[in-house]
Parts: sequence; C-alpha cells; structure tokens
Amino acid sequence: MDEQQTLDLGTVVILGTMGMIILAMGVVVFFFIYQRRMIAKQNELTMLELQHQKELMGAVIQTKELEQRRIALELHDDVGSTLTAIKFSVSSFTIDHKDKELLNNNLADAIQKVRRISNDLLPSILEELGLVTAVKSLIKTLSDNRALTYVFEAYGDQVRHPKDVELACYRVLQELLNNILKYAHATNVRVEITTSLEGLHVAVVDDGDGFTPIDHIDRERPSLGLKNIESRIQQIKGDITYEKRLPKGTKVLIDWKRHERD
Amino acid sequence: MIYLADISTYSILLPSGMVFFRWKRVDIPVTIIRILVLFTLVLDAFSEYYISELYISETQKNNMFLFHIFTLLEGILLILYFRTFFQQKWVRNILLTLLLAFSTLTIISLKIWEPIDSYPSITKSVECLMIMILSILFFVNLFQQSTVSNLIQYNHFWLASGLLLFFAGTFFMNIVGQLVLQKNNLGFNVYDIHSFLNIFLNIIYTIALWMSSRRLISAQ
Repeated sequence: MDEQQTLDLGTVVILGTMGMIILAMGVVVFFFIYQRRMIAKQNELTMLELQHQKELMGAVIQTKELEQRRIALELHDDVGSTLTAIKFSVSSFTIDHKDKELLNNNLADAIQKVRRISNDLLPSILEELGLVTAVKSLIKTLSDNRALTYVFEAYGDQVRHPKDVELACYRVLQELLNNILKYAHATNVRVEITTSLEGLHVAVVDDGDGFTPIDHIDRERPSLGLKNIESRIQQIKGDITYEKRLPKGTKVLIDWKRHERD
Repeated sequence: MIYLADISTYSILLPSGMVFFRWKRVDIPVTIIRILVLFTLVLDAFSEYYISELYISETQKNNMFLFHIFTLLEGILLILYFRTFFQQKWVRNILLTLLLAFSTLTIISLKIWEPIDSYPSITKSVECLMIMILSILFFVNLFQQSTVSNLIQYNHFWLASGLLLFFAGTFFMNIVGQLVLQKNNLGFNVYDIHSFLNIFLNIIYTIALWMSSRRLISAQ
C-alpha cells in the first residue's frame, strides 16, 4: 500500500511536471508567434502609410504643377497681353514726351517681368526643346548674377525622356541652383547633363561651404526645399546623392534609369 | 543518477564564467542577474564545502538552511529584475509590496511551518507561482511597449522564457517536496527533474549574459 502510494505520488509528480513544462512552452511559443505576427502587421501598416504618403506627395506635386501652369498661362495670355496693349496705346496719350518714355520703360519692364515669372512657372522651352536646352537657358539667365560663375556641359545622345522626368529634373536643378545661390557662398558652379537611351545623369558641383541633407535633420524647421527635391526624385523613381568635396564644396548626383521606371 | 546532480551543481560555473569573461558595463536588469548568478555560485560553493569532509561538524550535517537563504534571495532578486521592465509607478509599487510580502512569508514560514532543516515547500511553491506570473506579465508588457522587433536577439526574452520553464517545471516538485524527501522509492530520483531544469536554466543565464555583452542594435 505504501509502495503503491509512493508510485502514485511519483506518477503525479512526473505528469504534473510534464504538464507544467508543456504549458509553459506553449505560453512562450504563443507569445513568440503572436509578437512576430504583430511586428509583421506593423511593418505592413508602415509600408502602406509610406506608400500613401508618397502618393499624396505625388498628387501635391502634380496639383502644384497644374496650378503653376494655369497661372503661367493666365499671366502670359491675360496680364502680358494687357500690358502689351497698354504699351502700344501709350503713343496716343497726350502727355509729356519724357513721361511717355518713362511710362514705356516701366511697361516694358513690367512685360519683361511677367514673361520671366510666367517662364519660371511654366518653362515652355522645356516642353518644346527638352531638358538640355531648358537648363542651358536657365543657366544663361542665372549668369546675370556676377557673384557666381556657371559652367554647363551636355554629353551623350540628344534623347528626349518622358515629360514628367524632364520636368522633375528641371525643378530639382532650379531648387539646387537656388540653394547654392542663397546658402553655399560659392563662386563657381558646374552643371553636367548626360543623356542616353538608358537614362539621364545630372551632376551639380559647387565650391561652396559643403552640404549634405544630414546636416539639416536636427533643425527645428525641416527644409521644405530638400523634401521637395527628395519627393520629386522619388516620384520618377530616380536616385539622388550628396557628397561633400574636399577641400570644399558639394557634388549632387541625380540618376534616372529608364528600365527601373518601367 | 549521481552524475546529473553533480553536473547540475557545477553548471553554475557556466554563467559565472560568462559574468567574469564578459565583464562590461551593462544595464540594471542584467546586473541583477549577474548578482543572482554570483550569489548562487557562492552558495553552491559553500554548500559543497559544508557537506564535504573539510567541514567538521559535531552534529549531523544538514545544508537545507542554505536552500532557505537561497530561496529568499532568489525571490527578492527576481522580483527586482522583473520590476525594472515596468514603467508605471503603481505596478512598481505593487512589485515592491510583493517583495516585502514574500520576504515576510519566508520568515514566518521558517518560524512556524517549515523549520530550517526541512525542505521549504511553501516558500518554494509560492516563489514558483510568483515568478511564473511575473514572466507572463513581462511578455504582456513587452508586447504593449512594442519596442523589440527581434525576440531571438533580445536577451531578456530568453531569460523570462527560461525562468518560466524552470519554475513551471519545478512547481509540482516543490509542492510535494518534503513528502518526496521522506519517500525515497519513487522509481526514480525526483530531483533529477530539478537537476535537469537547473542545468537548462544555467545555460539560459549563460546565453542571456553573453548576448548582453554584444551590441544588440537590431533587437531594439
């Protein structure tokens, strides 16, 4: 009897222990699998959120371009035409010759400014003649600023790429050149564009203070210009890299490959 | 099997070796585990010395008092260990209260129910239950915080799992501990279960301490 009780006790201990161990292992495995599923779901949500953000940004850029186009056309067609008409009718005004000349000069100045603003908003030359010609024209305009010396080189086949790609590259170049003018304290800027059937390669090199986007991460106000650049390049599925040059300056490289987009 | 008991005793050398071999500044939870490991080493070493011929005693030797001390300090250190993972003040206060309650229970049990030369069934069983619950709460808290992406590389996941398995496995054994000591013909040595689980726990301590010394950037 005593032996029987002893064996029963032994069985209880073994079974109880095995049961508890299996239960504990079940708990650990359950938590492990559950956590992995949670992380996977979180990652999926994050990816969806990122995708949504990208799409939103794309929509914003597109809307902005459409609005700029509308304003550019109205400026050119409405305001520009009106100013031109006024300029032509000045000759019939019965005012002093000096005042007439002054009025003509101011009107000519206003017409010039309207054309420039209209062109900045909608570079028609980009649509008609392509990126290389548009950039050449842009640099020619910027060269009026004697503080900076611009050099532009174009290499490769004279190939046209999709309109949105050329527009994105043009806008990014505008932003980069604007930033160099405002912040870099540079004296020389070199722009190179290489086009081929496979894609597009743009390089902007300056001899300024040197810059990379990481320098701006900790600032309270995030750089909208940089975000704009990143978004535009992402939209066309291109790549952009920033390098600090030695002894000073920055090199920005933009790469777009046709097959990656397709 | 005598071998398993000996291996179980000496297996504490593994995590102890890891403590000294990878001596680096670590966070508070790992420091507590280090203290626990070193304390276990000292106690085991003293226990071996006590039951050996080197220690001369006029009365019959009974090293169960060391087990009482070990149970109390192990319980306190593990409560403190799990307490470091909870940020809410009320939870931390409850755990502090639990620590005091456990200590009080151990002392009362010693005085009234379980003399110092007997197996501390009540204290050990309460400790087992307590650590099992704390381990589960640790997992729940881990998921709520969602700061760890890869559990395999997270040393505290290994520790909590190891502690849960060890205390779950020894729970039944501790409930019937004193009874088992009296009955020595169960067809097997019940303490082989404890020995096996003890070796397993020391391996887990070793792995967790080794992982603590590496930079776990991806784990968190």
